[in-house]
Amino acid sequence: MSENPVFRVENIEFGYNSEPALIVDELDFQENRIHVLLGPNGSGKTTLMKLLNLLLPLEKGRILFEGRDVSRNRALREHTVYLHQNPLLLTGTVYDNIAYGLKIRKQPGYEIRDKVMEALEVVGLEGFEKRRHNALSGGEIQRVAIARALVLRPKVILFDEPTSSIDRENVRRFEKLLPSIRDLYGTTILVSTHNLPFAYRICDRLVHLDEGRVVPAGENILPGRMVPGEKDERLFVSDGVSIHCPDLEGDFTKAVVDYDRIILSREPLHSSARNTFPGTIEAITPVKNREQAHPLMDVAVKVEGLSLTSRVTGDSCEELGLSPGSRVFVSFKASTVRLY
Amino acid sequence: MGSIFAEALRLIVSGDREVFFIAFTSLRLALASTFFASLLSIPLGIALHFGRIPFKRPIISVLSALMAVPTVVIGLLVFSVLSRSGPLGGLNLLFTPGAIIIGQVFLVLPVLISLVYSGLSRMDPRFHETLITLGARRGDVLKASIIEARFIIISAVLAGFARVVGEVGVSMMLGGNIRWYTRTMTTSIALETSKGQFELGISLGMILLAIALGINIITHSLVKNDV
Repeated sequence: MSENPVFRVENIEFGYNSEPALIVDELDFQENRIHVLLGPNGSGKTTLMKLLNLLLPLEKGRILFEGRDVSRNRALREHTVYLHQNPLLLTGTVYDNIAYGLKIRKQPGYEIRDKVMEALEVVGLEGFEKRRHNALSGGEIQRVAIARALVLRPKVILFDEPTSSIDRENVRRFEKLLPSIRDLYGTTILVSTHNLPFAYRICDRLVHLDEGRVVPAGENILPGRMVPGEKDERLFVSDGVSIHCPDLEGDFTKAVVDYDRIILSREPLHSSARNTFPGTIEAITPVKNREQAHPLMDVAVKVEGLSLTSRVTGDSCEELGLSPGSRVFVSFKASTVRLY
Repeated sequence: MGSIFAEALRLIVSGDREVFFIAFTSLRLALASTFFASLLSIPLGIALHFGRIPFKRPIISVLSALMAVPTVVIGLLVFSVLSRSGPLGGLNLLFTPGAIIIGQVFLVLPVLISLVYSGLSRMDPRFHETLITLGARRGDVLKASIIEARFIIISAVLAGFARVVGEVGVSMMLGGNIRWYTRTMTTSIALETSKGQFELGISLGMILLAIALGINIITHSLVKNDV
């Protein structure tokens, strides 16, 4: 079991009209992190989110919240808030909307006012409290809905496709808002999306869903920043490791390298690959893939503070004599690094 | 024909006592029956929407069917209950305003329940989920739904009022069209037309049209505000 999972999903199955929509054997969501559920329409993202918020009745399996089985315990809703793809505001003012959850919890008026004003400030909507629900743009509606959730101080906020109905500027604003919510309130955040660049930019962890199943991750997502290197080139630095990457303009915060683009060798390679680092194998895990005839292995290699995973065949693994603790070299071309 | 309309207008403008007594009786009875029907139907419509009621679909189908029952059939059924030989004959309600109110309540009840139910069903499905995810319990959801659907409910009540103020079968059969007592606008129009005296009928028809128009204007403005 992973460390400190706020949610743990075990053997859940859910379907619509006897058609299976979601089958998950095991999935953890660690606390105080931004988890992104990535997948195309119909991959089961919304279903999973609604099951976690008990908006859908769990048919099979169980959901643990902080270690307790809450599969049918509606008290869970005190700790989680689900935000729709296009959030709905109640008829009334922005203040009425944000205060609603506190009012039904019968909190004192002065406390409600303080929390509403604080939440408005966090989402950047100071002075909007008297605005009517129908006098707001799509991005403002979303921020009011976020503030409405924040005042309840939930342990988990579930965002369902939050970028689908807002413009690029509001997407950027949202991307900055999420880490500040996580850091300010220690909130665990789950976001579903089919927007790949958005997912890479915001995630602490990415969960791929396809046709209602969790599919193995296939990319290293490295947080970091761009720094000037030698000879006018720019490097991406992640956990103290400088990575050669395409020379693109922009403030990128994530570099992505697919597992199958990373080559493992016992000796340093003399090749065109600009990135070659020595490292130590941390773990070797077989890839769970139903369609794969030959077994594949994910080999996690520790390179200074950075963990890089390479996907190799079982045969390669055997031929190279790879095992946890082995010293290896990881190599990949600068052009295989994608920046977000 | 022009002189008939002129005379009808004169009856209204001059404040003819009988015209206004009949109009007032109609409005009084329709308001009373709509009020009592609303007291029953609004909670029933809400319960039908939110409650876990067995046979919900058949109930809705029956209610829809009852909306189309002719007013004379309702009148006949209530007549059989209130007539001297009926189970409530001892109350001597037949041919009184009370009898008309009872008949109109039965007439408008299915209309109001159906309209409240269908109005709530048309509410955005995200509404219920939004409340639930914010921690609302059953009572909170009910309260918020009534507030959110207030225009729908008011529109339903207005539609019910329009239905009873314009009906003739129940008023005729249960009220007996007694002058200065149970005569309503619709029964009076039917009587005066059969006598070939159109002036009073047309003047009452004008008032009825004005009421219908007023209800429509109010309903439309409510719907507009609800958007």
